[in-house]
Amino acid sequence: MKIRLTDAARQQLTGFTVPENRVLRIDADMKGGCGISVHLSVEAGEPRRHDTTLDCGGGIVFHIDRFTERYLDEGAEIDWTKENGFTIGSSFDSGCTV
Amino acid sequence: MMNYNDLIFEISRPGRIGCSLPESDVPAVDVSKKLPAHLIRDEEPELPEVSELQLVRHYTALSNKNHGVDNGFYPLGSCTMKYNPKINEDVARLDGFSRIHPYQPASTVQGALGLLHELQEDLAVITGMDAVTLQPSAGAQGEWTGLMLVKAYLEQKGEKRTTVLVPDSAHGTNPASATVAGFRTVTVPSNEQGLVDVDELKKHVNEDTAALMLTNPNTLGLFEKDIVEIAKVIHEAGGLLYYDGANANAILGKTTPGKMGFDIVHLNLHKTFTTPHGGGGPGAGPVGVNKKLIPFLPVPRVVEKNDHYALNVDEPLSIGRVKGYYGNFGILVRAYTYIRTMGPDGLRQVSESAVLHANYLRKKLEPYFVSPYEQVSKHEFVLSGSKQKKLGVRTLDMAKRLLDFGYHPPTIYFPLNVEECLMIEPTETESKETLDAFADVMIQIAREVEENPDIVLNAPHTTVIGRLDEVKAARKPVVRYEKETIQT
Repeated sequence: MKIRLTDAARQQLTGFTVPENRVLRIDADMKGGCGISVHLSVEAGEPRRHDTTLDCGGGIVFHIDRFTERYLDEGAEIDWTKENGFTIGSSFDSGCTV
Repeated sequence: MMNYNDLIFEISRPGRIGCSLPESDVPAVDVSKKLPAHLIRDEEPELPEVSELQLVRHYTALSNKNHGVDNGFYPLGSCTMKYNPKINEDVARLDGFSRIHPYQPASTVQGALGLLHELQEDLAVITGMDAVTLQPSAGAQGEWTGLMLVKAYLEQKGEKRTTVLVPDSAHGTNPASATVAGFRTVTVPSNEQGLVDVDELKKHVNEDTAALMLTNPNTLGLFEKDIVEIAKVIHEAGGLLYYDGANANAILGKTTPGKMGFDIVHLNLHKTFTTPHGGGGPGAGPVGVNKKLIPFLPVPRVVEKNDHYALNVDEPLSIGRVKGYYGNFGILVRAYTYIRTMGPDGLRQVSESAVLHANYLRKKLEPYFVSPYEQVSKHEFVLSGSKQKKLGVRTLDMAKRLLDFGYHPPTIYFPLNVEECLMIEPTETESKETLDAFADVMIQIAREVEENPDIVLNAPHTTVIGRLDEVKAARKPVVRYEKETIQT
């Protein structure tokens, strides 16, 4: 799988130190009930069993679990803006807890 | 062997017919002379051509794939998928109820009007309200009706309040109904116990507060123990308190929204009072109000005058009709039958059993899942799949695995304030054996997550259709049959 980092996202992530026992993660979270939506986010989270890793160069390595892999488009773009934090693909709602 | 799981289009054979129509006995019409050219199709529609028996077998096979309370456990939290007693159907089909017309003179349908009147009275007693309208045709329409009553009441008082408060655990219909009714919604955060944070609530309440919409027990299945103080805060600010009756199944005969201080109540007859859920079919969401709001209720309502029942339309402050005729009458007959069948003691026992069943299951499952709240739950409870998430398996995966055992999964990912939420409502109508069997399967799945996660991640394995590609379904939905599309 390949994803694309914008310059702004790469800049944010390059200067970021992942806390001990945490990994940089692209995570899909579901919300819903009667209707379900999927939000993708970038976070520093705990490692999970069977995570795959995605090396984006420059020391930026994302962990992705199998669930998230299903919802992450091939070639998805990760961007960062001051107003919205990290956004992934068309998921404008995605937040960042880095 | 013929496979009736195929699409009906795939069973189709050119020229095969399911019925024979007589020769037309009216002259043929040239449509090109009657309709504009762009409205006339230039090729035959791709309608399936099958025999009557093929049609029957196809749809019977489809119907057998449905999951309902009549063929399996259905612990869908918040939705209250309890058994619909068959006596409800028998009564609704009586000629005196099923073969009447809304335009008949009232004098010829006194029995039907009497039933509606008694149902209004019964629901008023059950909710502790002073009057009830049966018109709204669903819970969400009941919410909207209730909010329109709030609006009319405030306008009558010369007040223009624009804000409706909703807790972060509220049903999504609450803010949606408030918005449609012309209000602005403000979310009130819950505290660590999953209850309304009264201090936070106070920060949000002001002279612009029209109402607070609250479900009690809330959507986490927890009783809002501060409800009396909450009511005081709202009323002192001049607002009204709205009761979302989605969880009334937990309080029948134990307490009433009226006693808690609520001004308006809607009920979902398909939840608490065993009418069919309908899958979008006819429903009913009656609304009860206390005295000050009666003049604004929709018309007509059934009234009793001189030992006769009539429909009153002469209410100058009424918000008007919210539904054609008098609501979905057949559904109301079913709810009335249920209330009469159970009686006051029976209804009380309904709630007691619903709460007992939920807590029994909760205690059996707590060692295997994260239980976010300590408080004893009412008729439903939530678990979090956060422990399993660390092992790379999500709540959605576990829900899919439940299908392999013939269970409808619980509600998942709602309420929104619980991570990887599983919301389980067993209802009062299930046996201990069913609850035990379901718990055993849930425990088995929790073990599979640890020992053999692939079986969960790739579930379901035993259904006709396996794991669906939800992403493709959401982003590139194909909702129209085209031979080429299906073949590719």
